[in-house]
Amino acid sequence: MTIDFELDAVGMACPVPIVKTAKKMREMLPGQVLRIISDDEGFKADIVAWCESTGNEFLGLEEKDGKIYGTVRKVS
Amino acid sequence: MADKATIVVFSGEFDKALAAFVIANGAAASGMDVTMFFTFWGLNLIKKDKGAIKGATNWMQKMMGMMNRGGHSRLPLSKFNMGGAGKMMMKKIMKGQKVQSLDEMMADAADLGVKMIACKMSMDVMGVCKEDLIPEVSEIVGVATYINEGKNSKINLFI
Repeated sequence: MTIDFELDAVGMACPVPIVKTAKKMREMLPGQVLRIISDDEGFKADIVAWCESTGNEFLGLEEKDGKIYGTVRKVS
Repeated sequence: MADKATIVVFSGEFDKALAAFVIANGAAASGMDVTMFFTFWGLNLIKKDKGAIKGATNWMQKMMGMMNRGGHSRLPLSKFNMGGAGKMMMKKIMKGQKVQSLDEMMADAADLGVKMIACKMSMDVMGVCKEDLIPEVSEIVGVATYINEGKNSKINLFI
C-alpha cells in the first residue's frame, strides 16, 4: 500500500489530530492514502469513529514506540 | 447534504467555551455543518476584547457592559476561578498537556466553516450591537432561526 501523505500530530491533544486530518483530506484526491502519527491515546478510537462518520475508509492502526499510526483512504 | 450540528452557547465561562469549541471543531472536522448560536452570557465569547460596548443605551446597560467585559480572553473558570488565579493555572496545565488555546480553537472553527450566529434579544438586553462582536459572527438572529437549525440537526447541545 502506498502512503501518499503523512501527517505528524505528535504532541497534539484532542481535537487537533482529527481537525488536522480533516484539513489535510480537503487537499487530497479521492483514493489517496494518509497516514497520521499521534501520541494521543484517544486518537485510536477517534480515527475509527471519524472514518465512520465521514465515510472515509479506515485502513488500519499500528502502535510503535509509544506512537500511534493511523491510516485512512479518502473516499470522496 | 451534510448532517447538521447545532450548539447553543449560553454560558460565558472559559471551561464551557472550550467544551463548546472542541465539540464544534470535532463535528466540523467530521464533515458536519455546524452552527453555534451564542446567547446571553455566551455573547462574551464573541465580543471583541475591549472595554465599553457601543450598543449600551442606558446607565444600567453601560454598568453591565463595564462589569461584564467582553472578549474570550476574559472568561472566568466556572469553578475555582479564584479571581483569575485558577484560570491562569488551568491555562498553564492545558499548555503542558498540549491542549489548544481557546484562541487557536476559535481560529480553527472559523477555518472549518463553523457558522457563528448571535441572539438579537440577548444582545438588546446586554446593550451589545453588531460592532461589539468579532467579525466571524455572520448573522444576528432570533429563536426561530435556532429552531429551524435545531430541528434539522443530528446533534443539538445547550452549553
